[in-house]
Amino acid sequence: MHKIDPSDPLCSDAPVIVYTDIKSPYAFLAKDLTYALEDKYGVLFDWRPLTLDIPSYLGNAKAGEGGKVLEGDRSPRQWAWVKYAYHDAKRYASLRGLTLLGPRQIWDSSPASIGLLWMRDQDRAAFRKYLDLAFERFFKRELTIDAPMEIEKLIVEAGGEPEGFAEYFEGEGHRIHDALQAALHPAGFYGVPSFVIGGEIYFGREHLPYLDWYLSGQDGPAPDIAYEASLP
Amino acid sequence: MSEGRKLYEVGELELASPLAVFVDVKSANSFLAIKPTQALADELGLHVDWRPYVMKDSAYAVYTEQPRDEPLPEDVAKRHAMVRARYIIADQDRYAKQQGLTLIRPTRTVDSDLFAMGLLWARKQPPPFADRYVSASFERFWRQELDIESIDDMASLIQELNEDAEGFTLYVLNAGPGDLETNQKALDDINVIDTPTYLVADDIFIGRQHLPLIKWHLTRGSVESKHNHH
Repeated sequence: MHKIDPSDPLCSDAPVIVYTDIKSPYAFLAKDLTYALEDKYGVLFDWRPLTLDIPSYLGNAKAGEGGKVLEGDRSPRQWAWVKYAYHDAKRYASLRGLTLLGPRQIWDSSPASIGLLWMRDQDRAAFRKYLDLAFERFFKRELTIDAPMEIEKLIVEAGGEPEGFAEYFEGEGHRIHDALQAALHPAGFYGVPSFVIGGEIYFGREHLPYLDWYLSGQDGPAPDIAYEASLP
Repeated sequence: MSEGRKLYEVGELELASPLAVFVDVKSANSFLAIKPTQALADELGLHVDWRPYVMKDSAYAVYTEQPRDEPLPEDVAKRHAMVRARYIIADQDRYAKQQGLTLIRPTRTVDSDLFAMGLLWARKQPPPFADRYVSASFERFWRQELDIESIDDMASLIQELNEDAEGFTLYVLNAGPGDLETNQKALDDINVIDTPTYLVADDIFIGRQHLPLIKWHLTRGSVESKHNHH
């Protein structure tokens, strides 16, 4: 995998950088579409974690069975946006046969992010398997993404090398993760999925048509933003 | 689309087309959606039912001009908001350039109630006046050539578009404010929170990125063409 300089989140020797977070429904919806572009053009993108600090900008919340809010400090407007975002993500997930259950609490996904950093140096098929398993299980409420032991089990199941992960998690992995996260706001990143294309940041999978156009040689006018049209 | 041509009802809303779009002239994202939406309507042989939704100040603050060299705040929430605002502005600028649109942002929050009442009035005129009103208002406002807070400027625009400027003025001074309040409440009731919002197949979609899915919804069912409406 491509080397990370945590102090320069826009720099990579890959044609495209992809920032993702396991707890984001929008990142989940972008994953397979992004793989498809890697496969179409025979290139490997530079996948990196952007661990969202959701309470800092969308308030905190915890729900019980049936989605009843047990505690939280979100404003009505923040709730309206969160509800719309999940409604929107769910309708696209449904069209693609994906299960997307809203989490009942806001998770710290940094262990899963450090797992992603660890898997970057593994076999590419194992790396994808790790992302697939992590996203799918998290949105089925079957994965505790803030538990390092759970992440290590996922690494094994994905076909990755678990030996040394515990030390990496406590040491180098944490350092790289935290340094990268600290550099993201100053570089202009605030959400996932984010793509770095030609040195510029593009937030959201609505830019994948542009990425396709960019990789295809940029013939003709650039396309407008659009979500996927691959409907049943 | 004149009154009495009601075709669809969603809650308290009476819509004149299966493709209803809620816009605010002070929203750059609404502006960027005008041409692609009109193109889809033309492709499908539909009229767009343009309706106003007035975004509250706090909701669109990020769309006003932002100082680009100001240091990022220490507070994470404020920092996130500033980074997001800068990104949105840059993103709107690149797609405006792509569409060949001039996009000069206001430096202060502006009141778009007059535009909104004008659109409610335009909906009562024969089509395609609402289309022309929307296009002209957005283009001129974003070139800073139209004072949307001036009733005289808005009336002049309507006069230029060969419609009854006096009728517009009387509407704004009489039924307009009440109609706008009713319209705003109806949209709040169906959870409209931003613009552009599309209301298609009894569902709301925020942003023009949904146009492929909207097209799918509009073409898979029986859609009345504009020719059938006349």
